[in-house]
Amino acid sequence: MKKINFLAFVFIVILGLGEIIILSLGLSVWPLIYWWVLLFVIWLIWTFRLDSKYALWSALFLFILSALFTSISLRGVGEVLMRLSLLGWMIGVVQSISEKSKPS
Amino acid sequence: MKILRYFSRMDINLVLILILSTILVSIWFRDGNIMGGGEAGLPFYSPILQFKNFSSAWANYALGHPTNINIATKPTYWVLAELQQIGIPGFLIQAFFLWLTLIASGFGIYYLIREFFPQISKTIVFLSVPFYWFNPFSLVNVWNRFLNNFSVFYAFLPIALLLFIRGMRTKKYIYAILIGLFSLIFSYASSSVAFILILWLVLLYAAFFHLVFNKPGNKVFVVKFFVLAFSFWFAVNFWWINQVFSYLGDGGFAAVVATSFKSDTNYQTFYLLSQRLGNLIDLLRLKHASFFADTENMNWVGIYQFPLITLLEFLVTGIILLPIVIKRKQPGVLFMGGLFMLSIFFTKGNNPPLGEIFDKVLIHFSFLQLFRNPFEKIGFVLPLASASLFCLGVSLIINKCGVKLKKVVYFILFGWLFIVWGGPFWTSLVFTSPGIPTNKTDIGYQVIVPIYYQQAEDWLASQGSNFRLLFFPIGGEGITYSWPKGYSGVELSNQILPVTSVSFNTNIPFYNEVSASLERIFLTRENFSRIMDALNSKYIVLRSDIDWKNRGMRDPQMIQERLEELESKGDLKKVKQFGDLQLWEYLGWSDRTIYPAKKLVKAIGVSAIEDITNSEVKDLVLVNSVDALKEKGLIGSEIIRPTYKFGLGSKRVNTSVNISDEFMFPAVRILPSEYLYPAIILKEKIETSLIKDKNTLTLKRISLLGKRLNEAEIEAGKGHIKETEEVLNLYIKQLKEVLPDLSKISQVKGDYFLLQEDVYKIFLKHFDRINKIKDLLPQEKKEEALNLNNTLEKNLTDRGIIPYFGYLETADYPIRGRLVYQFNVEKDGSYEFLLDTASWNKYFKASLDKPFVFLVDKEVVSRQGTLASNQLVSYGFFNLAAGKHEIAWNTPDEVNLVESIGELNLKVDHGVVEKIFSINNLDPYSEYVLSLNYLIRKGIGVEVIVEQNNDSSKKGKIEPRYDKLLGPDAYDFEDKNFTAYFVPSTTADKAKMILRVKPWNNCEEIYRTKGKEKCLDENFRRPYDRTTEVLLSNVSFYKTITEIPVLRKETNPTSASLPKISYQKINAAEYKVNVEGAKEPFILVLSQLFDPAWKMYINGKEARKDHFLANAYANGWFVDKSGNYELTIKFIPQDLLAWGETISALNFMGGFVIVLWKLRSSRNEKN
Repeated sequence: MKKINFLAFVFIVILGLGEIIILSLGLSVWPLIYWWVLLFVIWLIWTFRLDSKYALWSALFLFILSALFTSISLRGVGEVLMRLSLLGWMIGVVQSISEKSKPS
Repeated sequence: MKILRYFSRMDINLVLILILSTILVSIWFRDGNIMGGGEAGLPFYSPILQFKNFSSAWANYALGHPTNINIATKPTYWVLAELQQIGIPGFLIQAFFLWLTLIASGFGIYYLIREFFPQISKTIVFLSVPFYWFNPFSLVNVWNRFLNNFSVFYAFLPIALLLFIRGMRTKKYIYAILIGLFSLIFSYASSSVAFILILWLVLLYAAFFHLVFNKPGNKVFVVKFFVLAFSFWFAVNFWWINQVFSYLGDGGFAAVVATSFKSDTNYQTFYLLSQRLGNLIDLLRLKHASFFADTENMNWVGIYQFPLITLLEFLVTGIILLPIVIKRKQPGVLFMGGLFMLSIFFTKGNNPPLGEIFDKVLIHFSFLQLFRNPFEKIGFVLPLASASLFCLGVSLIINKCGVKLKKVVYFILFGWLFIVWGGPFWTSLVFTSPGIPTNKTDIGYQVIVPIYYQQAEDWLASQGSNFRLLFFPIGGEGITYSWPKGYSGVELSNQILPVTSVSFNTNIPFYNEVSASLERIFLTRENFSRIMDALNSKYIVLRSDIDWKNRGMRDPQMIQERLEELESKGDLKKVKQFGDLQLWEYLGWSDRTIYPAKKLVKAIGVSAIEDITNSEVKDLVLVNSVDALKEKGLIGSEIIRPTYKFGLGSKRVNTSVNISDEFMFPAVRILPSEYLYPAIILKEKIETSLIKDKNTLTLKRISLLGKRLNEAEIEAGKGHIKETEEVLNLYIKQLKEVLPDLSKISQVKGDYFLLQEDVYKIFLKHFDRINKIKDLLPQEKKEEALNLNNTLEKNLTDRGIIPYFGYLETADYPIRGRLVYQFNVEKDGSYEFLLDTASWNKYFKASLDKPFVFLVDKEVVSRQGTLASNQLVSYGFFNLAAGKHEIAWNTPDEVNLVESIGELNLKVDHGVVEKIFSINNLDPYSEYVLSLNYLIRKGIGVEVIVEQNNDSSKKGKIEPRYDKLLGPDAYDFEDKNFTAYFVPSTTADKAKMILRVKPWNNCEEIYRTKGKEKCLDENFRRPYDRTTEVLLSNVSFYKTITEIPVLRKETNPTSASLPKISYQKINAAEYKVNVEGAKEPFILVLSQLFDPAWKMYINGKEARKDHFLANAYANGWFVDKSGNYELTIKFIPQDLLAWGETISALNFMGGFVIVLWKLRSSRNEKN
């Protein structure tokens, strides 16, 4: 299991590095970064067996940060944080449904 | 007393909903006016007319159209029409309609939340009602948008979900039946396929959720319940569902898909709307980004821009999100939380994060492109999910507070919902929008239709209903009336007058072909009466009560002058005037709803109704390709229009497209022989897959083709033959990928972003490169390069990118503005060549007295023109064999349409200095090239403006459609040339070119952070003025050739007698026709929009084969039966409608009886 975890980690890091290399070639692949974040977060949850509260509280924290930035007219920063927050909400909700549906 | 007792037992919150709804509609309709505008139109002006339009499978409005899914509105319009019949005024009917919508949505959301979260106190649940009514999403998308199907769906969605959830919780199938019964009551909402999909996706989500959380034994029930709910809903709604399927099945839908449903355009819309409306910081506050940013046109939205309000809006979102974190173990929270996140995810479109999912789904499942505006459609789920989470969030907060604080929190939230969100509703500001006149708060969506429309309606009703009206000026789908309480929205003629009319342009196949060219033919052609005949139009209506400048329409005065001209020729006569409406009767009118004909003219190429005027044959019927008619020898005359046009050596203009060699033949860093080359191909694939804009993608692909040739040339130079071959193969593969996108470039109709001439020049360089590569290859491989050149040439000619016969250039016939038109001739013969050059002496140094030189295929011929009928000039006959032919000519020397000035120095210290050039003989249906030289000696440069007589104004200032500032260059300070295309509005009649200079001024820069608005004051900004000086020369304004030539072959039509025809209209979708004295085969024309579902029956047997498009829009049949007999012409979906209505009615009644029986038995059980 540890081996799989390690391999998954290496895969995700390589994917991230690949994206950074492509970015350095002057390509606009920023939207793909969120896929990498998604994979990384899923890997974190899987490896450290984190329950849904981590994803949801992080999402709430990012949401509050985003709200503050947006309120002071920093919409660009606010939007990026809100996108990361949405990833957290989606992962958290799916995790909660999965936790709830499992027989206790 | 019983009612009072009933109300006293009612939940107080329900009574409050009733009271608040009543207050709201009382405020909205306090002036006693109906409301309308935008896409909604004015349906409450005459529900009777609306019912008439939407009660059959075929709607008569415009040139006729399948009612399709709009038939779902029939029950609602029936009820509303009944109310109008008993004398209830339109505004009261509308108030009643909105009152019911408010109550239904209020009750629905209230009970839904109680169903999900019974533990929350009723007082808190009540907050969901103002939340659902007044939230920013519903403000914009439901109430401001003001579409009836939107508001009805908004009310129905919570009710449907409530019934579904309760059914599954209580395990009672009766709720599945109730969903079907309620769907009939709310059937108006079904007039949008997107809403049907959303409804069933939400219910499917609910079923899936119950499947996950239910015990195994209950799972079967969930499946059964879902299947029953869907089946019963399907049965009850079968009357409109069968119309949708019928529409999808017949060829009419295919025509719409072919002409109007453009995946590329849909995707671009989706992409742009996702960019604009899909930002999460707006969506999570349920806000429409563009609407709430438009403070310039709607001051009141400015309040929602304050930072404090923004913060509080996020606080509300925080309350919505809080239960997802705290109560994540509750199934209800997970249900609504999941729904909320899903709706946010899809409402944002293809914006990050993970927008690629929606992207791929939309591209691969084209039917889902009806969600191309995801905010507008999927957004409906947002308030549904967020209202319930909001109530739970409030409940969680309040339960943590002390008694006093509880009240304070509740009061603040109540205030937020009712004042901050509800404010625009209590003040009716929600019914205002950016355009004129709806931006005026005292008007908004209120409309008072002038009394003269009623007079016109009465008079027209007395004239019968077997004719059409033509309205001029004619514009697009929208119109702005200058009535005291004006209107801005979809054109209204078919909603407020009892006679159908052609009064607007829209993208309906065949209709669009007629409406788009109608005003041009009316103004420029002699034989307009033939168009009146073909359209069965008895009256032309001149309307002067429109804000024509605002809508970019033609000045009604120009129409008036043309009408008077036609009156003097005896074609028309002014018969009535009602206020600002004038009715002009066509004196040659006879009823042509259904008529027989024999004189057929075949149109080949891009056919248009205008071809009716291009033939010498009178009383003709225009047909397209119909083999049966050809076989029967009924077609003698032909009109051939070109399919492609090509140009070379025109005056070069600056386009925004980069076709430089640097871009079209990019440098090569890594060669195919290097091991990293596959990575380069991968990089290119990623790059192209990330380009969202279709045009940018096409350019990128062309540039990659150039790159392939660069690579091949270098590899060939190095002697790497294998790699050269591989890269050339890749070139061919990529060429075939890009060619379909370029194939529209020379089509006679339609614009393309890239000039055909530019593409030709790019590929000319490709030929050169391939020749160079050939020279570098060894002898045995040269053949392959030659083949590549041939393949390239064949592909380019087949796709209409370069002329079939090429561009011939000789010493005595050099290329100068060469135009080439390609024709497809079906039969050998002698064809007359006609071109609209009668007025060319105004624009070119050419006249009819001198011969004109043409190039026919590869032969140079000189012909003298003679004036033929209908403004056309005949250049004699050409003998052409069947196949492709190209007729070309050079553009004659142009006449400068503006005053020649030599040199002109414009200098300004303060204010504005300008030179105005009036443009002589502006032909609005043509295109122009404007050119000038300029040298900026000081200041900010010169503004080039072309002001047209129908440019709109804002705050008293004309806003020209063409306005370009030629500013200083940071590097080159020499004299420069500016050349650009100018395409006038086709509805303009006059224009002037203005060269304007203003002083250099840095006031706004200085006061950027200290109140730059002060600089708007002329006196304040004056001290910051510095001189601008520009030297201008060689100002010119030339017409380009846009006239489309035609080839014509005419034979004398047979003069055989026609049968006598009489008909009886059963309804909009069925006619009985009596034929008397038919001796020979003839053509029968039905002047309704062509649709394959129109069928003709002779003695009960369908005339299956010979149905064709007649007169570019109508239905024609070939009838080969002599004697006296009866025909039936029927729009087939009408039979399905009758059948569907019976099935739906029986199911509804059956369901109703079951519900009553169940209610009774459950009451008996209780007793």
